[in-house]
Amino acid sequence: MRFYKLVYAGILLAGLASCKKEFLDLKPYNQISLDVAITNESDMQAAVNGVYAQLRDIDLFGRTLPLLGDLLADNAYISTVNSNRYLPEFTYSYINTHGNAQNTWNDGYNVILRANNVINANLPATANSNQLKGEALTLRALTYFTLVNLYAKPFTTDAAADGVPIVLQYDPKLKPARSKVSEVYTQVEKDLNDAFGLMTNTSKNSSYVTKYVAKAMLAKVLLFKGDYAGAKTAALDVVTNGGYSLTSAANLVNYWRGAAPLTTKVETVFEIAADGIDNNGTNALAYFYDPAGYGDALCADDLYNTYTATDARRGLFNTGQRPVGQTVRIVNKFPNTTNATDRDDTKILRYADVLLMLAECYARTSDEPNAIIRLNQVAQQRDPSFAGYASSGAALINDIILERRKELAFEGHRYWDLARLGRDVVRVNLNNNYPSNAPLTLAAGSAKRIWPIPQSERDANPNVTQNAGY
Amino acid sequence: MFLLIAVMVAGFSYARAQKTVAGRITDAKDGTPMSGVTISLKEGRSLGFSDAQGDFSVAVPANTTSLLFSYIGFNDLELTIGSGTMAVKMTAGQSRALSEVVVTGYSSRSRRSSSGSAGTVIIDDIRTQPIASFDQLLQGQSTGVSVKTGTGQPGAAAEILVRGRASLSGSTNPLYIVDGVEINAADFSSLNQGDFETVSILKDAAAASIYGSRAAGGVVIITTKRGRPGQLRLNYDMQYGQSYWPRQPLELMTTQEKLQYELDNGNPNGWSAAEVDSLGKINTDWEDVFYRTGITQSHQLSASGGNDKTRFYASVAYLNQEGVVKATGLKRYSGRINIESGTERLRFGLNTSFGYSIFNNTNEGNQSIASPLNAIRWLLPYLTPYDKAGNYLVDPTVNGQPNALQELLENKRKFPQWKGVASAFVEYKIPHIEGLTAKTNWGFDYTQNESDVFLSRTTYAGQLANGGQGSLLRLFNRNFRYTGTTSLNYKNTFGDHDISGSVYQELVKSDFRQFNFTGYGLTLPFPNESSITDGTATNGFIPVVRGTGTSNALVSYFAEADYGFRNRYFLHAGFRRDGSSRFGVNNKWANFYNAGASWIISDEEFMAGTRNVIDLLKFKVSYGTVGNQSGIGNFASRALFGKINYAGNTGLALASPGNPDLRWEERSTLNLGIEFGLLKNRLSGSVEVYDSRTNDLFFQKTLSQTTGFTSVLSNEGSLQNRGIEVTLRAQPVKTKNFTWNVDGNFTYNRNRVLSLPEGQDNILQADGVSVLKTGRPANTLFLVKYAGVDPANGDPLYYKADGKTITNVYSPDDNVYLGTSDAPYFGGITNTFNYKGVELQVFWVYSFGNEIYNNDRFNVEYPGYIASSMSTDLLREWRNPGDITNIPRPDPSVYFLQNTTHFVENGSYWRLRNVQLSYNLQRNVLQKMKLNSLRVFVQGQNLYTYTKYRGYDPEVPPGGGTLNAGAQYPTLKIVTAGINIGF
Repeated sequence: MRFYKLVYAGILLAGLASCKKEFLDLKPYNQISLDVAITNESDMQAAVNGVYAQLRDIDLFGRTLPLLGDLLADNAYISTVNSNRYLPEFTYSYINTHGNAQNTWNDGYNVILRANNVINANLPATANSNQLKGEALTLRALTYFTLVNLYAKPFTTDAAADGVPIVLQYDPKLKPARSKVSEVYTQVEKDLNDAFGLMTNTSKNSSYVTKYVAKAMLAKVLLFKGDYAGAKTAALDVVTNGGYSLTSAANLVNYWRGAAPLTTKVETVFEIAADGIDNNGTNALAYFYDPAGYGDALCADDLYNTYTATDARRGLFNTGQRPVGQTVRIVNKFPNTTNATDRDDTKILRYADVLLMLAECYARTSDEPNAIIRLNQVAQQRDPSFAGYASSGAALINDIILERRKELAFEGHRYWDLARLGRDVVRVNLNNNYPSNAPLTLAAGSAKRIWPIPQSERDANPNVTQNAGY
Repeated sequence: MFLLIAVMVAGFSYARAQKTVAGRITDAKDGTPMSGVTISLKEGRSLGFSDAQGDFSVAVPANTTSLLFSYIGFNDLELTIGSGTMAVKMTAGQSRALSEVVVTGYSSRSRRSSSGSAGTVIIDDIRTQPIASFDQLLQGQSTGVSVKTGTGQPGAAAEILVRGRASLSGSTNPLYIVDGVEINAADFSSLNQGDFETVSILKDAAAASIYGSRAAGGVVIITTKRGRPGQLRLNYDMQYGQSYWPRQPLELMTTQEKLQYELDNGNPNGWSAAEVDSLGKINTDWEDVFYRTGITQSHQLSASGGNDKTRFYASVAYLNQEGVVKATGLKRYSGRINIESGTERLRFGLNTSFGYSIFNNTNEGNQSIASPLNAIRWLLPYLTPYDKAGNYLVDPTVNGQPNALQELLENKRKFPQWKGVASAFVEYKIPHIEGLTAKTNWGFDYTQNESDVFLSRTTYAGQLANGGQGSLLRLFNRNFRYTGTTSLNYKNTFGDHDISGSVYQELVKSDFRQFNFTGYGLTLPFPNESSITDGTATNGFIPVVRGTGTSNALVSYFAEADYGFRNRYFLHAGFRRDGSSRFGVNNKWANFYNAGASWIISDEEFMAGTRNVIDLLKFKVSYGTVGNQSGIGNFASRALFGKINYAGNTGLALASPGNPDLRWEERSTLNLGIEFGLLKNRLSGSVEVYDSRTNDLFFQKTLSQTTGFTSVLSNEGSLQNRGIEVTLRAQPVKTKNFTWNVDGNFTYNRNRVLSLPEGQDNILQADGVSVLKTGRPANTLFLVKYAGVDPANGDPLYYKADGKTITNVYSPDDNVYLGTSDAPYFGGITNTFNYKGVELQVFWVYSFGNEIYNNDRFNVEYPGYIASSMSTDLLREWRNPGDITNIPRPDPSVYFLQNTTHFVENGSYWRLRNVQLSYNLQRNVLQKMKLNSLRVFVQGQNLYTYTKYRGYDPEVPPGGGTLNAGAQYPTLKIVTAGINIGF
């Protein structure tokens, strides 16, 4: 009888033990739940790194965004010998199911999701948590600014047009409608102003955001709005207090050859890092320009011809043949495609950009002497033999825009300068080496100046309207 | 739960006038006790089974005069009840099909009373097939069970579908239970089927529902051999043989044809006349280069013995199967000890097994030029594997492919696996309450996998590695899963009433860990870790080090009850409640139920007149539900942050959206069946029809991407499988010395998508050729109909969507729905002939009614690939106006056949799966040789296949789905000879 009781007791015990809830409540080994993540500064730092990492995505700053700024405009073209990539962009034939347009949208909102999780984290305000929150705010602003430019009309064209949906909280059930362009800009400015107040001017290196990264970005946003006075104040603040400098003409090629983020504040204000392990491999921007990689995209000959023989920037181009027998100019700003230890970072903001923005703002606010000073500060740094610009009025503005084209070529800026100024894209097929179906103009008012809202978004979220023409 | 026990316990007070009959059952041949023999009344009512010592004790109505004893593989025996204990001696021979025991895992019941649908596989008939992975052996063995072996890679797992594809995104694998313990589906290469004793496949809800949320894909229950009491019996089984590669109907151009074709089409490789001349002398058969004749051998030594209290079974075994592709194969070492001991009241048992296998494989099912199995098709016939100096030849053509023989021989892909499965039980017959038993069974399945992938720096794959100097991947993982089941079982008979019932509680927990590293810079002559160059900031050889882990848990409470009246009317009901760690917080617990009834109509009085003809006629019906919770990951219901790196720092990012409502897929099945035995059981069989629906399918539901995610795993949509299953057994000839048995099965399963999420009606699948469409089966091909070639200009022509208009403009808008790649009709037929100890067994399998997209052909027909090997079909391509052909002019820019029916082929086949000739030595000879048994045999596996499919095998690789992507490892043809000796 004793054993009989033992067995029963055993069964009952086994039954009771299992009733405990913990048996089913398992902890993931390598993941952490949303509700317990970001509860200390160390996790918050990790979550901010997660935001940066997503910006490296190939359809964000890893390739598509810096490429489009030149390919949609008149700087880059696709060779007749190509791997069938980005042809819809080059020929302006994207439709509402276009893959890159869809991925940039998805991935952009994924950055925003990651940034929101940091911004909304409920941590006590310390210098450290403020800095991290400021970084997340800046990156969210950068992403909204990017999306509103891509998927909506320029602010300077129609600020009341549909922008992109503003999402500031994670909610998987959300089906938001598009906010106005002006509303998106308001959100972006608010984030950048908040970020500036939260951060310091020190960071690990140029692949992280500081308060003057936020300020430089604010200058750009205001410039895109046509708020030249505001942009001037912001840019001047960066120039005066940011601590940035330009590199020498002799060192320019070396600057671009270096793949590591900098701590010197020379040239780079902010960049997205890629390294020997974490990089986009054959999907990197560099691989797309490298003739040993895809080598599909080439430098427009008319752009190349704007660099004088003494201009250090000429050293950033090689000459090659593609197809065999046809001399072409090859972009060599990103020479680390096969570097096993480090890869080319994507420059988001450079000091030269800030100086040229400042020059433009001076020119637009009737301070031409200062405009000339800032313009020549860049131009003569690159070409020490250059006597300097001395134009005024509309010619001065054009000189500044030209200098922007030359300085920031293949960094993804040209198309957006044309967009904010409401200018047509005019490509010069100088040596007739473009594919035969390459359009040579894209008028400022064309529907193809902005991307379609992805059809997949509209299928899942009927509240989002489509852009005209798609 | 305790109420149920109370009812069961109370039951014994209703006892009627009965007497108890006891005895011992032995094998007439050698006197060993026989357990599991069914004891029944003459009119058929089952009373119970003999126990481990062959003893039985049954309560029978007071007026009973005789008992019937039956056991599979033995003649039925009817004996008069005398005084004292009965001595029952069974002789081997033909048994009644319906006296079998159906092992349902948690319990066993006679097939007679079962209302569910379960297939019992006669393991002795298939055990000796020279296949390293047991699951492949199930092909053609049972109705409703579709087995695609898919690949001839030794040790590879099969794809098994029980009663059709019941899930679209979740797993369709059956649940495998060995001695009460859940086993990973993919691990049969480390388990020795020589140790298996019974195999049942539970198909419908009444049979499988007791496994609840894991049973939607069916359940395969395996029990391993138990010792037989008596003196020590030793058995040695061995076989040895060779495997060959099958020739196949996709023909490639010979050297002469290919060179001429290239010259006719612009000479893309730029051959000079002299080169054409010298290359023309070479004609390499790349199959000969990559394939070989493989050796298969296996040895097993097993021992069994014991006394009436304790008995054991033990074995060691070795298997070595070389693949027909060079450098591939499987070696397995395994061992087992099963012990059982106890008294009348208390029993203890322990089953343990250990397996170690080493799997050397090659990539399959891809389109990579580094895959040797693609090279067989794509390499040019006028190239050789080695150059004149004996080095690996570097392909001199413009599209120069890597030397695939070098890739195969210089790189190593080795996958050792260790597996330990053990389970122990304690069973206690509770005193004072007749028929009440408590049992607890605890066991574990431990699997440890390693990967050892060495890519030499001399190879193409090795040069793609970081630093371009080869790589070595070493990976280690282990999975530990325990299953603990505790139960109270009650079984008793009161006059005409048979009652049994059980309540169970079960815990299953699984824990997985993995770590791996990849080292680079393999600059030393060792094909292992010693060659790795330490990574520095500048040399590019920084190794990659990773690790991961996961776990899941299941808590269950369940019960089942059976009632039989006059051994003619049977009722069954079961219920299971599963709590799973995988489900979302809002749906943690799932309930499943089943009910069934069966009626032995042939035992009714009004059927008395037909007894000369009809031995048995049984109707059965069942309905119930089962669930599926696998194939979705362990934490799919939660919003989780995962690791990501930025600029040399670790980061965290929200990686999954989370769905607190995530629940199981639920499959409900209605099953109707008839079982019959005619003409003294010379003809017996069954017919079953079923209708099953899977609701709440796992589906990636699209989200607004502004949430940061594109989709979330949800439960949406439904699917239906309906079918008919027929089993027939006949004995057309039965004389003293000669018998002929036919055993056949046939299944028709119709799969249909009933609904898709949120009004979606037509979802294109990632393979690019198939679609999910309501009203059509899963894996329905969706392509443009090819209309041949315009004789005037050689353009390909297509049918518009209307099916009549012909156009020369390809448009995906003209896609039409075609057949499915899941064969709706399949089965197997075994003919067995016996003549004085000589047995010939011929086993066919067949499968028809499906279509396969043969992508292998595209890669040798597309004119853009002219620089590599091409199909002989292109020899009849359009060249001149007026040519009538179905191959268009060789212009890649007008060639849009890829997404057309041009590459869709009929996947039907019938195959001589196994033919075996064996001889059992006669008893008098054996006695002189002092042996218990001696059997010699020769067998052939896959000797003949009939199919119109133009590739290596109509059973396309698992994971390939609708599409034979390429790199197919052909199913082996194997011929072996073997011997089984019993001492």
